[in-house]
Amino acid sequence: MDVLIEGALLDESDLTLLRAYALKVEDGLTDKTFNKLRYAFPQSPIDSLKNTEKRVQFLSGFQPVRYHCCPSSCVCYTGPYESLTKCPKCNIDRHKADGMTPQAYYEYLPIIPRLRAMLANSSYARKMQYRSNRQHDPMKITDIFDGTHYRSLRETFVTVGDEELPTWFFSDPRDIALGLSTDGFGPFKRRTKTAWPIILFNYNLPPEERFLKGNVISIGVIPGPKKPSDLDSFFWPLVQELLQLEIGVSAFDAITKVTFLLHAYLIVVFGDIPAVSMIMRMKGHNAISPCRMCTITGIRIPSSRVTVHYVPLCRDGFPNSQGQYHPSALPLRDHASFIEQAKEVQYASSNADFERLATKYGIKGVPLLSTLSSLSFPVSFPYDFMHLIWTNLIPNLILLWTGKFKDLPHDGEDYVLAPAVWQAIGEATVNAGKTIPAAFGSRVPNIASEKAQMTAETHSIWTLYIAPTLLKGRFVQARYYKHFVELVRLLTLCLEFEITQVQVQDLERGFQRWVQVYERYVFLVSSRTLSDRLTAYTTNTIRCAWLLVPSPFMHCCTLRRLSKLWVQSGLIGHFQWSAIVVTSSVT
Amino acid sequence: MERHCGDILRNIRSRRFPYANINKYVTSRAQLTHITLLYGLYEKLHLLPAVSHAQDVKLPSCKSSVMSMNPLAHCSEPDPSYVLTPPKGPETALPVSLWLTLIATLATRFDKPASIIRRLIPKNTRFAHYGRAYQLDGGDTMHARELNSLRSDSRDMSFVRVTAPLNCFMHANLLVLQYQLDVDKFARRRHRVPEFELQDFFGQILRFLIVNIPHAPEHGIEADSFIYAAIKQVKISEPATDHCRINYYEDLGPTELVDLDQVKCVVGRITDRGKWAIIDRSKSLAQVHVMP
Repeated sequence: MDVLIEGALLDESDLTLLRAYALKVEDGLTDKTFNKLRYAFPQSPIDSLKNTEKRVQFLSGFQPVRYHCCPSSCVCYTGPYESLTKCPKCNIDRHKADGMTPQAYYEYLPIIPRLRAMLANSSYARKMQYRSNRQHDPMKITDIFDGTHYRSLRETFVTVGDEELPTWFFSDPRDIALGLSTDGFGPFKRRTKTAWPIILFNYNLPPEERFLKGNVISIGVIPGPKKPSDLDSFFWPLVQELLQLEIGVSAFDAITKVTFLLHAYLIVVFGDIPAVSMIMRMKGHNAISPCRMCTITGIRIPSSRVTVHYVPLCRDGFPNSQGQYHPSALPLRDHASFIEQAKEVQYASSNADFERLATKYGIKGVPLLSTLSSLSFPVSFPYDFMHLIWTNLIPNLILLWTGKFKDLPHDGEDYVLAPAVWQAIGEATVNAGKTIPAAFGSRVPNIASEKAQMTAETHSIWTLYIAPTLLKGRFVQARYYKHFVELVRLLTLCLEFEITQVQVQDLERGFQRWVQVYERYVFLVSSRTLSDRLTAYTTNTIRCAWLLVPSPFMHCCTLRRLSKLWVQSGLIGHFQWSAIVVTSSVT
Repeated sequence: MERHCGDILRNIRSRRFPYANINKYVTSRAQLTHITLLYGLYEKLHLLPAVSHAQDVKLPSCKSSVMSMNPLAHCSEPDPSYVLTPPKGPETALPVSLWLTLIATLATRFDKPASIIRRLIPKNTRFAHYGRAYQLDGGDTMHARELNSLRSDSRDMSFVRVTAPLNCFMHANLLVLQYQLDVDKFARRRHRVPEFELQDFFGQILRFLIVNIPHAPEHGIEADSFIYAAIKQVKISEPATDHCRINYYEDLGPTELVDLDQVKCVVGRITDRGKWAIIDRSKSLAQVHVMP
């Protein structure tokens, strides 16, 4: 076990060193600047960076584990690839010409020592009692712990491999609930190269703290320049540790001062659609079977060579497909069938068979995370509210209203706003910045002319607060405004701190109705010739709006101005998602 | 996640070896957090001075008598406490009209004839004025427009929603009128049964003032301090009809004094085709209770 002496005193020289190092890390000083500090402040006993880093590593007692990986980040040489000398995907050598030095590293930060340290720190451990101290009210949903997935886990035995362990999930109040997230980002301006950070969230912390920067558990960054072709090989060390944590590792509890068996379970995985498709080893959002929640099939645009698939509910008028899906009776996937299909694809007898099955199911193989019995496919992988609504649905609606939706004939459609009207709305939006206090969120730029400046946050502020006023009486037909206002009502409900089971049903029915009405409006006016992206996303909305997860981005950026929930008589949790995985309604 | 990516992105210091640089940053941050946990160094590595609150004024939250008798009071959470912060105005007497409003408000509060209150708080009483208040536990910050002028690049934080019993304002207004007409008429209103219907008002805060009530055992009044907000009410021209709850107004109305406890939160405004729309991000207790 690590050195876990809480409050063990560091001497003044160590503290000086740590303060300087904290300054460097927090404020992003370069190594060069750090080394200059000694000469800039000769009286201060600042050591060189090299010595400082050495000391920090010693004090922390843990260091990253280095795994070799392919220089174009196809695979990490772990598990089945451990002994390979060439990349199985791109055939690049694992080592440099000397045959010893690896071409690239993936640095993995172990989580077990860090979870131990959290519980060995009494004030942090006390905060982490949030999960066991909260009262569950079956009629209300206020947190992930009211979701059915967590509730049903509590009545299940932990299974590792094929062996059922004699422990229930979350039977110990100190058991930790974790959430995993990953996303690709481009380190350079031209976003041709991507790196993939992987982070864990500690759900035992109270909701207002768990997404803060200091509480996020970073487990490493998959280096670029490409999207990993086998993500599971990078997850290998993490899954190993998570399996250990399912069995239990010894740890010290700072509150009761005893050694105990620490368990931690991964209960939710989220990110944008491409990232989660990659984790789940699915084909992705343009596939024939694109949805991870159900087996709805996509259709191609008639008489177009584009191979993108769309999934409208109503299929009348499309060649080779008839009928329609009813939003309340979608062909949902469940854990057993998902794993069965994944296995069928994985153990396909030939390449052709593999291709055929993968296309049919939308699954490319058995994901490594399925070895964790705390995850249930696909309900532990909910759609992310921020991406679903603020970066897809709303921008798409705006494209539709401004007649700029790609490849759609908009001429003469009465849902399109005149350019002058849209310009006026844009200007009124900017002007509102001065008279809307900062407590509402950041200023919204001119939505008509500065579309590139719009972020998920500004889209949400615009939709919830500004648009209902500015769009009033702007459409030729009032029904479009009414339809939008209905969406605002549903979204506002989604953002409540607390929703009741009755409201969940209202949401479910409300989104179903909203999409059906939407399709009627758009399909009618376009004489049934379109199948567009918007529909694809709104269809996802119906299925998944009640599978919301907290969006970490929104949480973090604004939790500072945490609204005073009770005092202000039930503020809408604009920046604090209700943090729900309400799988109950998906039956 | 997006925020985490942004954080990493800002801390890439090497263009040549970006991935090694990212790894190093992520590692050093994890190690630092780990050390903080191991040795309990949160305060010591938090390299910021403690914020000074020397000039702030905190009063025990003023429980308005009307609110506490309110049968619906159990629905609301414990009263918030506020902190008044500078800019601070000089201690001056109130303009007569505001003083009259204050007398009427206090008369309603204590359910006493205005003549008694006038004797307790004469016209030349000096009051402390403040320009800013914030609610503790992360509530809104509010600006008082008369003491805290709006800068060209700042965002207006002076408009607020007030949730108060319906009779609160009307009563006060009536008393003012009656005071001006016939002081003796108060006596008849003394045992008026209060009505408790919560109602929302919107308005602009002009100033915060601290009202010190002297001890007056002969009238059954104990020494106490209250924070009042002088609020210029808006005249709603089109009340909200649908669930978007957008109220429109064109003009501002009379100035009222409101117990700070009844000021709930800041609201935003949008000027749209010649009218002002009020947008309120909070759920109103009034609406919750009036329409169950």
